[in-house]
Amino acid sequence: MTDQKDPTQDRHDELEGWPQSAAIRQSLGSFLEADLQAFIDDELDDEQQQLLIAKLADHPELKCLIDNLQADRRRLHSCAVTPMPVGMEADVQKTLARPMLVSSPASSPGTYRRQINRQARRARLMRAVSGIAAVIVVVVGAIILVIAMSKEVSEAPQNEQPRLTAIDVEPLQPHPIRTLLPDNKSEPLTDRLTMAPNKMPEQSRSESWKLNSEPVPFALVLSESTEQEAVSVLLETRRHLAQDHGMVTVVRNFSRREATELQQELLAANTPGPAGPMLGTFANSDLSDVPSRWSDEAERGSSVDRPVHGQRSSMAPSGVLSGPSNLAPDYNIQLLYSESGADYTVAIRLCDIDKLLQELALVPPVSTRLEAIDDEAPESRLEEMAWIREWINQRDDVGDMTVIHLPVIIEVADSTD
Amino acid sequence: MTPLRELQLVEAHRDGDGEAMGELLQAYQPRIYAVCYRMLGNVEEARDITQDSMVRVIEGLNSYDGRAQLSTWVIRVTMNCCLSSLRRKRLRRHQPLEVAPEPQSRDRIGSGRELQPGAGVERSEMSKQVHEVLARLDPQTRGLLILRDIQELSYQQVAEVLEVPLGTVKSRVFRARLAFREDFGAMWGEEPHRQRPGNQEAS
Repeated sequence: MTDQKDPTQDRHDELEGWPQSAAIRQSLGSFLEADLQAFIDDELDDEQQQLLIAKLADHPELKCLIDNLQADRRRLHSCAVTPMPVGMEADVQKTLARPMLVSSPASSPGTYRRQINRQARRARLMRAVSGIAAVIVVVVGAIILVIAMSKEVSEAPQNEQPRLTAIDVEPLQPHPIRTLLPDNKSEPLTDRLTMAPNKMPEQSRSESWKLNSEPVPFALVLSESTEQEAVSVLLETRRHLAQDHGMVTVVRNFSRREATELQQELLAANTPGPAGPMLGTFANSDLSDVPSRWSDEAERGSSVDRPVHGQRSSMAPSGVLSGPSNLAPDYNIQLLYSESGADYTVAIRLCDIDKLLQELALVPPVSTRLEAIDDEAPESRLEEMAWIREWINQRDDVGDMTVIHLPVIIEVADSTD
Repeated sequence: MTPLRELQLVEAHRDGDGEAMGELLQAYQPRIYAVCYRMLGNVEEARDITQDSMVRVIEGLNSYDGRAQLSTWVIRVTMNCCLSSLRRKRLRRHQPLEVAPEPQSRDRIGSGRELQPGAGVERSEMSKQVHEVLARLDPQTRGLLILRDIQELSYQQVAEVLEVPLGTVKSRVFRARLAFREDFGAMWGEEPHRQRPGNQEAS
């Protein structure tokens, strides 16, 4: 592994330039560095591990080296926790209490005061120029939009229905859907944040659903706010989402009565006998995987005072309203969402959420609010769409094509406000 | 702290919540200190650079756009502060760091928290050995081992912290591990290709 001349010098020379050294290549022989690295990192599956171990059996020196490298890794990881000096926690408050340090620009040694002031003036000037440019762009854009809309109104045929636009409902402070552009260009949602470019790919509506894995519950909740008299209309339109756009499955969640009956039937289903009438109405009535903890759910369900929004339309019974039934959540998830107050559940690909929000906003007077919920601390919420998108992008367990179950709560806005 | 909670605190900080930054720094301070201590090898200097890093985090948080995880971004800021500090000291090439004694662990033997009293001594001895070997490595090598093997960052995160391509990171980590093995063996009487009796049980 090391040369005869000063090994420390030679090794550090190699590491400085990081070339693929001949010594390392020689010692690895026919083994790939990537494979050995993955073995050291415990990233190989059992079969690959066994194959590599069998291959290493013929190279005892290399095997010893790899074993030692694995042991070193464990040694290093065992030192992950380094106790802080006593009283160091107080440094945080001391740091926060230093406004002069925080507010003034950082200076490195040798930078003189006039240079700092010049840099600060330049920064202020750039900010002012950017602000003026932004104002000009917004004003020009507004003028162009007004002109375009006035032309559209004058040219529209008499029998064409006017385009519906989203209306904000003030008390609930929703995020106006009009800020989400279908062409995925960035636009400031607030004066603090700029929406990150949407990395999700455009999907053809005619593209068939190809599922690589089962749909997953996901820590997102959608709230739709509408007036009392518009609830039944809203529910009716949701049935047609999948039919019109072919990208979602819509499932009406259980009412309290249905949830109670279902729990009783499922408890009874644990004992031999025919399925009850409620179970028989559902597409996925497979009793073989009824979870044993239904008894706990039944106790919870009986004490939940689930709100009822408007009248339940006979056209929108519980169960799959539209779309592929294989994407519908199972009873467990439906029951949990029902108990949380979600009126219906949408199965949708992550990359289609933006489109869904745009479509939902077309039925006035509806505004929508999407929230991300922390699984480990349910009281924590993210509400800004840009941050939600970045949070989703950061997750390794989901991708653009992952189908998620999105519970939707219909909130009735106070019409007196 | 979950990533969502972190983003929520960043959002709250930008909304003017004065408590949010404090909560974030309290959560990250141990980790920042751990990185600084392993990089610099000295308790007092690590404490100073930890404070510098926290100041940089406060100053730079408004430019954080959420594309990388907050933990990755904070560690990047910390690592840059450590490397700047080392450059400022203008260490002579290959000169080992001034190795200060390991700080006392708060979990003392017999405090009732340990089921096996001997395990604490062994862990402390191992930590000391690792500390001394790390101090002998050049900053780049040391940084790689700290990020990958001590802090358990993924290769992608290490690449983001050091701002180098992913393939380069993997290759450098392999070489860093070889360098550590060589120095560890040289200091504690082990050959790189000879196995310590204990390693057979460990593997």
